[in-house]
Amino acid sequence: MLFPYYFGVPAIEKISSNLQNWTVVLLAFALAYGVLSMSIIHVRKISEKKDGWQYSVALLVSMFGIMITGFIPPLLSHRTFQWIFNSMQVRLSVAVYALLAPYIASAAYRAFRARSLDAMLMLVAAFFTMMMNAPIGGSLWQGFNVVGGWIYSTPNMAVQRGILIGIAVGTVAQGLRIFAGFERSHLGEERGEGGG
Amino acid sequence: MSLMAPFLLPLGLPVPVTQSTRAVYDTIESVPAGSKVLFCWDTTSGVYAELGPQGIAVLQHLVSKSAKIYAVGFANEESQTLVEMQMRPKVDMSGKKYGEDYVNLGFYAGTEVSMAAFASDVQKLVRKDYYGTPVESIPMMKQVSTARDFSLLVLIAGGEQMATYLRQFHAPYKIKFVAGTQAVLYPTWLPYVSSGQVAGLLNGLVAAAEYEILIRKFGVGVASADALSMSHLLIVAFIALGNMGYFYDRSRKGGAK
Repeated sequence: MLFPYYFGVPAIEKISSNLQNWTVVLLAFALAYGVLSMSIIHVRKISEKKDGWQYSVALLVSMFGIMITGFIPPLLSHRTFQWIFNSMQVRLSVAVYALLAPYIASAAYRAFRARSLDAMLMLVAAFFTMMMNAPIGGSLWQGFNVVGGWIYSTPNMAVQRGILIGIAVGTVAQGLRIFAGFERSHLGEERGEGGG
Repeated sequence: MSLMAPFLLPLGLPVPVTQSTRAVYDTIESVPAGSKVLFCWDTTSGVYAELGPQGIAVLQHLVSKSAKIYAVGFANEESQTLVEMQMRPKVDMSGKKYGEDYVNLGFYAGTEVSMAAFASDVQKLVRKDYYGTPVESIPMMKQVSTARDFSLLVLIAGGEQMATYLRQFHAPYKIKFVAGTQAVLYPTWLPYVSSGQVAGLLNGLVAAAEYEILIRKFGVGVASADALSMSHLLIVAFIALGNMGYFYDRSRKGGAK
């Protein structure tokens, strides 16, 4: 599957394309298998009345409930499915994400303190970038956009590029280790076994 | 209260348009009518509050440019359901026909593998659209075979999506690319803008407000701008209070010694 990225051989490209499509089908089955696996775990938990079995009941009822409504014609356009998705799934997901807000407020009060030079620099950078990202910041003072923009485009850019290059080099190194057989943890072996 | 109050009593605080948002706008504005655009809103419902308004504004702009829009997702199972049920109803698509101006191709499991499969041979991977209609009966599907047929890719997502989409769409096929992401990920994705791989990048909910101002169709983005300003000012106030308390404690302990 790597060959077509570097060499334009039509026969190899066709094989690679078929392999890619087979993988997509396999991964779709993996999603279904995940549902089956989770169902087995939670049914077992309910039957053995383990701690928190009531939450397992709620999980199975909600999961299969929405799944069944999605299979009723006209499938995903069914009113019940749309109502469940729009009124429950989306709203609850957003609400869970919004729970971050009090944590951030609490962290801002407790953690952003100028205890040292490093902490002071982080505090100043956070202040300018926050005011740059708030619509009112640029209206109060253009300097927020200028300084915040410099922080994004210079020190942040340098660090992010370093991280990206590091990740890329690490990925290539790990790939070479897997191809050479030195890394076999993906096959279920512990590191160091099999003379690697 | 500080986040809720501006929704009930709008403050009308100004929303200046940044260069980053204008770059995305200008790129889409330069797309000729009838161009095929790949629209990938590929994230979860958890971040819909931040990225949904971006998607709606960009989709509205694409519709107004009479682009042929192909919506598809590769990384998140619920992404296309969100596009169809939450975003498309809020876009004015009068005069446009499903299957001729817009089509949703659904979700394909596998992230990079499905992206690679789609980019190399669209017709082989995509057999039905989101609603189960065979692609043979969708007129606008006759015009695409590989990623090279698309003039522009619009990605609105989070996490590592930028890198995966760039690897599978931009690097091999040189497809023009604009993106939008959460404010917390904006600094992480900026290097791709400075390298020229991405023509423009939208920065969170504030970019949605800026984009709505540019296209002159106000929605949730502009409505949320006041609350966004108040939330940032509140965090700054908490930081100031925390530091005032810290320095006061320190000076008191120093005086007591």
